[in-house]
Amino acid sequence: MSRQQEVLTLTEICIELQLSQDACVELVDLGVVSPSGNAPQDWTFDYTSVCIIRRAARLRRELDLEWSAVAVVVNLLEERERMQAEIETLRQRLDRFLGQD
Amino acid sequence: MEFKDYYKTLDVATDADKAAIKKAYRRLARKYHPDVSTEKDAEQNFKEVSEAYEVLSNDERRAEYDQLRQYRSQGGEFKPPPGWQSQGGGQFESEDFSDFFSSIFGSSFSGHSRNHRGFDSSEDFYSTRGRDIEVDLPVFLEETLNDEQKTIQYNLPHYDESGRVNQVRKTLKVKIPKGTIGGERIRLKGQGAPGFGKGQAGDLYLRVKLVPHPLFDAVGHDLHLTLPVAPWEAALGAKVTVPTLDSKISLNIASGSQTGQRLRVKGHGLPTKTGRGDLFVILKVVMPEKSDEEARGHWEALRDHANFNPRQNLES
Repeated sequence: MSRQQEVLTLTEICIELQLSQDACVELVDLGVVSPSGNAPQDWTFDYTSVCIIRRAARLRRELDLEWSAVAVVVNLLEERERMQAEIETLRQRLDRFLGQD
Repeated sequence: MEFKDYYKTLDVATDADKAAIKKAYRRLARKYHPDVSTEKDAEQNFKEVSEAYEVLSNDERRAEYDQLRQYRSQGGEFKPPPGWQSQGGGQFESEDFSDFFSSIFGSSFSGHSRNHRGFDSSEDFYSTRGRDIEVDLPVFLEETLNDEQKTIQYNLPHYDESGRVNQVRKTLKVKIPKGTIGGERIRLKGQGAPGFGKGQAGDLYLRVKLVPHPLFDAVGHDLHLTLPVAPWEAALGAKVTVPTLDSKISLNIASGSQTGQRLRVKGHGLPTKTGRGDLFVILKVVMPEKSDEEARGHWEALRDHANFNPRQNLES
């Protein structure tokens, strides 16, 4: 099976994630995701951004949060995941370094 | 079927008002939400809390539930009364809810569900796009060198004729594009959860997780390799054979090399759009495990000759 197109437009994201355009624009304004393109009609989002927006929408809905709070939570979660991955890599490298080869 | 005590789940009194129920839900949702919680069984707890809130926050459903709660007190295993038909169902997405919930409120859902509020849809009221599904895709480093095909299996919700939800195992062949790195998402359109009514199926998003390699660590498109060298190789310099992900290369170790020193080998990392990342070789000086009397004599001669104090920085 071949890979599909690698980006989604704002309209496609709104349909696929069942979100309003205002909500997506707000997430971009808050810096949760950074699409390519200048004006909203030219924006394209990679798949990682699509997953971040989906998570943001889920957090807003299920935790009953404002978008600004969602932005803080999503950024912290992304940062936590990045740091966990980095710790894992560093731990692995440390084990190689300290272990008996 | 076990009767679910939604009041107990939310830890509220049976006469709690809507504000108290909402407050309890918010508190527990923040505690158990799978995206933010580190609690054990967070996902299962969150589902139970969501289900309880779905019922108790809606006047009609709560009234029906309270009615059944009294019926349940007659004892025995719970079964809805014969001919039971809910008036409060049809406004939720029930995929994650229990059989107990479905037996009372049915399992239909609509495009105007709680999960989709705020969405201004012009679609058929009873047609809803299936949800997207995100699953991890373990990928070996070697599989990122070329376009690879991989067979994956994942769970998909399936609605039977009575509207009940079961999980079915789906098998799919997926192309792993050359140069894929950890954290990247691969999207397979229409391979997510089935839609409801005339709604389209959702998409499948594969989150690439690189499987730890016995030798190499991936950092972006670069690879790191810890290379053991003998003390005399570090001291005198040497030409050594080094494994890369797909070949072997010959590498010059300069004389006087130290543990921790990094040597960059261009173009032997993971593929990028324009070429390949780099391989970083990190030297690790290791001692031989055994040495005989003669070797010991050489070390003693070196000690007497070198006049070297490796702990100079520790001395004040």
